[in-house]
Amino acid sequence: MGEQRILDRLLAAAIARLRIADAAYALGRVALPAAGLLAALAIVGMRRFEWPAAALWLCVAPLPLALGWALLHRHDRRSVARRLDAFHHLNDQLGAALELTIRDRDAPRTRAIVELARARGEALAATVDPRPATPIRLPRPQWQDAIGPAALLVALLVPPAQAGAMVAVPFVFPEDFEARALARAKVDMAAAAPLRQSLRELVGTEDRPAHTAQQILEILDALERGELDRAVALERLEQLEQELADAEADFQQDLQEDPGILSEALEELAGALEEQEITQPAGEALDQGDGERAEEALAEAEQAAEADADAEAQMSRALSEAERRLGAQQQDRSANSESAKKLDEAERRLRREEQTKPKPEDAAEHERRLKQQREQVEQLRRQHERELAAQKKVEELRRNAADAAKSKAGSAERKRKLEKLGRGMSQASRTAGGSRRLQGARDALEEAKSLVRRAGQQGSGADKRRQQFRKFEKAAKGKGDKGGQDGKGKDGKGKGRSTLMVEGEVGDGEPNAMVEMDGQSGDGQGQDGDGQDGDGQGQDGDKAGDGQTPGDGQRPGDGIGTGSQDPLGEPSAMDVKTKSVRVKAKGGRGVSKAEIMRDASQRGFATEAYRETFRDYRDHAQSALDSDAFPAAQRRLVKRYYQLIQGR
Amino acid sequence: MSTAITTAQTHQELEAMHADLAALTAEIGRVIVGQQRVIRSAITCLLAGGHGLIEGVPGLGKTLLIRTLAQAVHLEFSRIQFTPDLMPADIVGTSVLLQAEGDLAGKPVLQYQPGPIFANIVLADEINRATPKTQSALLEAMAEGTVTAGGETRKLPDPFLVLATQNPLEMEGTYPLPEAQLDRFLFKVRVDFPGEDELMHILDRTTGSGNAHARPVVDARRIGEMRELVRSIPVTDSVTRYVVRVVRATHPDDPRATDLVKRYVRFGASPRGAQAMLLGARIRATMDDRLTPSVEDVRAVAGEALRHRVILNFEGEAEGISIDACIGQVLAKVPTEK
Repeated sequence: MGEQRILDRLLAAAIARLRIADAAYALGRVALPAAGLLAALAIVGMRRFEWPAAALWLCVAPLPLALGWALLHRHDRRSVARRLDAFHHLNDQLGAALELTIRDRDAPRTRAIVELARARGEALAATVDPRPATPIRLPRPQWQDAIGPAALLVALLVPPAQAGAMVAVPFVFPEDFEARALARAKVDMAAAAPLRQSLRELVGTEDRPAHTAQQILEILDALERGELDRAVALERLEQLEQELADAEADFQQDLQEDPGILSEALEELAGALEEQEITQPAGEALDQGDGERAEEALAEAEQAAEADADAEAQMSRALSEAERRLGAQQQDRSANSESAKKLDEAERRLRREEQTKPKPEDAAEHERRLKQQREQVEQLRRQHERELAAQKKVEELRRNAADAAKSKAGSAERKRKLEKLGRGMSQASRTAGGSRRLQGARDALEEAKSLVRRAGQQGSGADKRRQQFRKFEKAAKGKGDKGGQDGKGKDGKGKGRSTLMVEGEVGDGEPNAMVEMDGQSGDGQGQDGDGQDGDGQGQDGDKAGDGQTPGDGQRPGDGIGTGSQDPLGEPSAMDVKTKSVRVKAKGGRGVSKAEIMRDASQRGFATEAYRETFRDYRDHAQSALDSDAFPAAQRRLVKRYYQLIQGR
Repeated sequence: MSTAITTAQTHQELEAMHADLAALTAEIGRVIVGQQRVIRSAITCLLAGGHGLIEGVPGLGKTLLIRTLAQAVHLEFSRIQFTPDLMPADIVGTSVLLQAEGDLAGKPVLQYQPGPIFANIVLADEINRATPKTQSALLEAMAEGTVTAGGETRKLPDPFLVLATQNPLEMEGTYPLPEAQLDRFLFKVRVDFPGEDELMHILDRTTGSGNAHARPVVDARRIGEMRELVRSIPVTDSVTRYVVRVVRATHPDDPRATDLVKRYVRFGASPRGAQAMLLGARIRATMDDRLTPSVEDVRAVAGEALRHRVILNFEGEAEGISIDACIGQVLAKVPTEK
């Protein structure tokens, strides 16, 4: 068997070399010329018949075909053996060893000779080198080989189809172009890092916000891995938003106390507890929304107070302060109950509407309004009841704090009150925390949607602004022309876009003219700017300023007047509904650099010059001023504002 | 186990036969200068049990070759010079009237006197000079190995080998052998004129005082053994198929027939031609110390095996077409692949 394998190996080696030789021949003689011809055909097709560029792949087709033929082309082992025999002058002894078989009818001596012949064939095979008999050579160049390259050269010289012969087809964006562009746009995952951190903080519990946060994280991860495109991600985020809205509705339905009031009360309570060293842990825990830990910390503080008189004093001070702050909040709340006012107003409107007898044709509309108002009243009533319940809860907290402060340290009464206070804190914290977590989940969801959308809007936003600007510019020029006739200003003669609004007068009266100025050359600015405008100011207000000094045109000029003493002027007679809103300022040191960077990473750094942004905003405002009737004082206020924030 | 022993024995037998044939060839070569192909063909005929027709101009050593062969194989040799007046009885023998001896003493009796055909190696010199009647007397002897004379059939000695010679030039007063008789010859061997060196060697050897003689190398029994062994040589199917194709291609109506065959050949080779080729190829392979014949062996013996079996038509005769050319074209065109 071992000897037999020698002949088999020899033949296998020879056949392998023959296949390589076949491949070389097929590639050199057939595939490459054919590839040249096909490439030429594809180029001509692309240039003259608008074939797609993929037609060039045609020229690759002969290569695998040639290689496949060389691989699959059958080589008869007997023929190969005969070839080796002929080359090495072996008189077909290898082939005979391969072919001879012992037949039943053979005589014993014949069988013996067959075996001898096989053995001799194997022995010869061991001495035979297959390489000379199966040389691997590239086919010699022939004139036919030049056909392919020549055709390729000729094809490259073929000019493209005549422009006149082409039919101009207007380019039409496919309907789903925006969706596809949205899907293709990449999401900046680095910008999502703070959002992910916020989401991880929400994850870890079993509530709905945690589930939503986990879902958002998974969507972001899938986006990053490329398993989702942006359109699908947005779709899933919107689905999550719907689910979250349902959860919020359920939460609101089950809510007994207003979380806002409770949250404010807890904030006051935490602030009071943090003032004293002994209750500081409880205050901090409360500040972080962990009511249970705050309750435990309060109990520990009480234990410490029992052992130490100083601690007891601190404890009493903290409780007294808590009682004071909660009481102050209650007073403020009762004095300024928004929901009660709104409820009264809504009930009054509803009663009025119910008493109104509508015309038959307006009955349906009347009914719809009634239904809407009833729902609104119902909502307001529910909110009012929650506020009342929350205030009651806060009052209870305040009372417990007061009682505990008055009780003696270590007494059962004090322990009981403190226990009540801690339990109330914990419950209030849970209620406020649930709302806060829901709000956090909603914010994160909005942020995620914004993040996903942002990549697809980078290009279109600039286009929209540009279009809007043109529209506003056109409208502004129209006004400017008129102003040039009526007012003091004149149109600038120069080129360029308007960059500055120049106010002729600061004071009362109707709007002043707006003058379009040259932002580059400055032609004509001298006439309008120097002195004349400044002289005109301050007719009504004292020390209206030095007037506009637009300068040499390169710069808009910094000569903005100091304004009148009463820039708002006289109150307008226009009937304007005002609404006072109490805004609670955020305490502390303000925005830190780290927060600025975090916000920038989420929202992106500024990519446009301030001048451009200012112009856009100012144009928006100007457009509003031009199209709507505003009191003169408000109008001046807006203009004044833009003058103040104008870039220099 | 028995196969292994047989293999070893066979190997030894083959080695011995190769050595004997080499010795025989060398012994003949001691007398005959050159003409190796003719010597090998004569030995082939001896081992195949066939008869040889040796064709060549006078003086090329045809008779000497056959005589030397007979000496080297230590067989009985007889020479018959064929002439137009040679009668069949001169070859096969005849019954003569003799005085009986013993109980019938004095009475005339017919007693068969064997002719010169009763020898192991018979040299039929210039066989084409005898009349067809006499030539046909050889038919039975060559085909059957027996002679019938006086109503009695007598067996010829074994081995029996007829080696006939004929002169291709002197056609005047000759009787070309009929096709049926030609077919009895295994080979038709052409003796070519020796080359310059060979001729010098011949002159040197034959005109001097020395007179070389061949010594017996093998005997009749050994020849019988070798004949048996030769017929045990296996032949691959591809070689056999090639032989068949070649023989068929010599027929003008065969699809593989070449242009020369189609145009100038009247009859192609008979199955005896195929047998002659295959046997000759086997012996040639054995003489070359190979265990099985190849296509090359077939090609080497095809001319001698077929040239007297392929009959040209009138056009071929008139055009002077060489049969060897026809056979060469056939050998060149018939594919060796399956």
